Amino acid sequence: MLPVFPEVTLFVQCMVDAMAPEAAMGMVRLFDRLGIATSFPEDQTCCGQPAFNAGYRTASRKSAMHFIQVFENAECIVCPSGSCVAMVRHHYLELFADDPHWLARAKKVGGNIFELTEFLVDVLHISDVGAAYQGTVTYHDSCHLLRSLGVGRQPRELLSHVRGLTLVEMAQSDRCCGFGGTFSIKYPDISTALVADKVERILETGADTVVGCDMGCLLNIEGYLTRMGHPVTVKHIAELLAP
Amino acid sequence: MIQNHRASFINRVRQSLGPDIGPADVRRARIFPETSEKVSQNLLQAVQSRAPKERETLLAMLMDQAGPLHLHVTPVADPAEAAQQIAALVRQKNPEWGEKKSLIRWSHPLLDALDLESVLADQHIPVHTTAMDSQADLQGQRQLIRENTVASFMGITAADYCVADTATIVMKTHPHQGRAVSLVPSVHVAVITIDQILTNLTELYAVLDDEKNTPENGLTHHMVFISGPSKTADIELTMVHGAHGPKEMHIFVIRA
Amino acid sequence: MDDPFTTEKYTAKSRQAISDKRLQGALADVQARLGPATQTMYSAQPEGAGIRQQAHEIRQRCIENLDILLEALADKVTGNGGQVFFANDAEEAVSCCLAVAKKHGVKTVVKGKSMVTEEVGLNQALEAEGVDVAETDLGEYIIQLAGEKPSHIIAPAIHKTREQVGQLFAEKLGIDYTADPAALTQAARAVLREKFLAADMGITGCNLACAQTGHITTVSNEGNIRMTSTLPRVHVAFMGMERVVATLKDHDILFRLLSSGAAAQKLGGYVSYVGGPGPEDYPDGPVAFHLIIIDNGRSRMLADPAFREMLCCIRCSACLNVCPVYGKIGGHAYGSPYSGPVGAVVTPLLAGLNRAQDLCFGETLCGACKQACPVDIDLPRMLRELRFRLAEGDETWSATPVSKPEKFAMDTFAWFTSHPAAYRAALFSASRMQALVYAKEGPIRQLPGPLAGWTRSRTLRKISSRPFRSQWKSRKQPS
Repeated sequence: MLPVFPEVTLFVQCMVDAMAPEAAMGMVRLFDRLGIATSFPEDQTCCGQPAFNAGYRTASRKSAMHFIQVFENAECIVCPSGSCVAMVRHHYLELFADDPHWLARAKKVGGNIFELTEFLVDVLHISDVGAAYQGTVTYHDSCHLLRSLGVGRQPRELLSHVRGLTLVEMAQSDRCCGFGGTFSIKYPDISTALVADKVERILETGADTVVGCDMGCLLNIEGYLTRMGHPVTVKHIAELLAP
Repeated sequence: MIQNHRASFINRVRQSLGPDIGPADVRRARIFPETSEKVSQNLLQAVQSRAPKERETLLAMLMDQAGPLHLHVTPVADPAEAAQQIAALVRQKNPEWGEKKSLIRWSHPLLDALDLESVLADQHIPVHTTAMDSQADLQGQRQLIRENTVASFMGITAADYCVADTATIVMKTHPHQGRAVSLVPSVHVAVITIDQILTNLTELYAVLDDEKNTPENGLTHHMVFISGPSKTADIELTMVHGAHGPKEMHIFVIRA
Repeated sequence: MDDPFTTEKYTAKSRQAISDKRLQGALADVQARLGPATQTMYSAQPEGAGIRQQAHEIRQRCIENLDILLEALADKVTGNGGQVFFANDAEEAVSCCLAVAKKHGVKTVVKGKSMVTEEVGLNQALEAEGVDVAETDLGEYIIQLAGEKPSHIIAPAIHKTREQVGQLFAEKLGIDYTADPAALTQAARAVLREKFLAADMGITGCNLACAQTGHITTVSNEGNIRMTSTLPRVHVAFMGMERVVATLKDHDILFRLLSSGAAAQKLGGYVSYVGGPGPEDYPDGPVAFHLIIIDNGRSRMLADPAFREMLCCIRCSACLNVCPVYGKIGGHAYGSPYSGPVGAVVTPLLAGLNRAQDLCFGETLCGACKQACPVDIDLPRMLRELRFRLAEGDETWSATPVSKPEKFAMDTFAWFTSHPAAYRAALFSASRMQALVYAKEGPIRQLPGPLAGWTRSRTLRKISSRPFRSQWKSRKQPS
């Protein structure tokens, strides 16, 4: 028996919205299949993470306040991005540390937001979504998802129940891919060295597909794979769970 | 001599801690508690009331931990056997610097009881000690002890404690016990008794904490923990024993 | 005085390191050996997973009572016949050491590895006074002979191969060439033994200090620090003021964690407690002991609640062994005695934020360092804090905003994110605009302006012609 949720409010990370809509559509299909109603507040934009990590807190607060206004009445927010959830759940507290009014509102929103795989496995207690995928898959642990939210077991559990899918772990799956937001723009040489290592680890597995839960990392990995001409498909986990 | 800024230095630290830190004497009492906690009392109790069987378990644990550290631990029945074992080592080993074999040892009741001087007489090995005569020329004695320590290929010490879990011997620096004896010679031999073995560092620190206020047992100006021979991995992380200190270390544990 | 920092060369030196194949191998090796092993050691502690937080609390409590602990330490050491000198900055610390050397007629010095002496530029100052200084940690000795700087806090010569060390020793020590680490170690052992025996003064750092009993502690595996603090007649110890802890028992957990963090050991091979000079009627040990306690910018960190936590650091280097960025660029790129994640935070605070801005921004915020830290220091939080001060400017640290264009870009983006209609319009027009600039098919191969670096090695997906929000509108509702 599933716990009864009146509705899941979708927060579709700005990068997914713009560049990987199929991941968010996968998430929608997934909830449709599970019989869970979804809503999408159209006024949503960005959680403010890029500015926050780059040090521009005044700018970040502006985005964060907007986010809070849009989502503060939602009972259950689900997002297909670990780092955005970490931003809302943990870093909003830093951002509004000296503003009790906004801090209280931030805490409320922070308590209601979940990353997709965390929501499926820990909240809904579902590890088999009835998906099938023919292929050998390797999983990349995104840093904030793994270290700030402690989510690593959940996506693996979901993948292990996908019919036809063979999961092959890469070495150092929890090593940073070198994205790091503005880091990859300001320090392209270091970032490239890191993504090159990541891709090497991926290729070592012989997997035909690399899966993750954060679009930033995935675009970075995909960008290097494509440029180097390696025929490995990059997929957000939602695309794979509900093709 | 240049100006020492202690007062202003401390004051700046205090200012930096902010206005809400509270009065210094209150904080002092809180951070240096007078009485030791119950946990430590229980640990001390455990150390003092240890049964012979438990001591044997600790010895076994020490030997297990010592192996990977290239630290040789040998149980012996009594001081005489320890002396024989040391004599065998002396016969086996060659000096690293120079040709002549000589030993340096602490002046310590347990080591005196080994009577190494007689045991090694047939090998014609001189055994020097680090005993000091407080009435005679101190500087001259120190100079001679230094020369003897440098010339010796083996140094023999006792210890205050031995920690099984980390394979560590603990030596406070007492009179007549040269610090360099466990450091400068190529081989270090420590002779301890089984009742000196403690379980782990937590037990050790409970014991040290308990002793710190009794001057005769207390921490002197110097103390050292040694867990195996000197080692380095500074060249391509390749482990090499004998970087600066002893290349080899032995502990003889007297069971009786 | 020599400037110990060359933080401005971060990007150039990173590039150099990344293209050095041998260095890449060495860095991968040190991280593979020490990184995962450290984690295993932590979880094997009887206290369980919470031990790092426990250690953090110990350190935090000590830092919050630093005034009291420093006074107690100084009183005890002085009571034991030692001299304690409080140095406000690097210059005072160095002049104090020079004065001690002069007073004791010191001509030769042996040194144990100490980051804080690198920080104050001690060696150059001693050498300028005609004092012969020998580093004695094998790694430090190698780089001293090579005229280089340490590239790792614990393994300073990790960037050198055995062949390079072999050539260096053949050239500088006049021995036959060998690339065998054991033979090379033996060669250094012989040379340094003579130096230890001849030295007038030994200089060490401190790993910790104990206020309650009045001791400084040093940890080493080679035994060089014991030699340095035992054989010469004068021992001078340098201590960053934050190293002191309150009680003997605080050492239990901290030494276990320091040893795990530094070298995946249960306990370092030699741990020494030094509380003062040896009495004259003892057989050996220095007859003079000087402790130099250094501020050099640390009280500023103490005064800023955002950075106070940095003073909990015990300089074990565990964070270096897991940091993906350190694993690529090595220690030299940081241009400071403190490299890796710890260096990225502490160096800007010592050298100046603007000067060391690349160290603040040139990290991925992946969080591996926090997880590896034996005292659970939130290094990523402090990196973000440094970025904040640099992005928006900060008076206390005399930081000026780093980039007007970037600030403008962020402010503009923030404006759009808080005006949803404008945001939507921008998204759709960007989607259409890119069709004019880039080829119809396939991803973007070259981004414009400051974004160009990204696409040097990577392609980028285009903004979808049908972003999610438009697909959502037209989706079929489930029946």
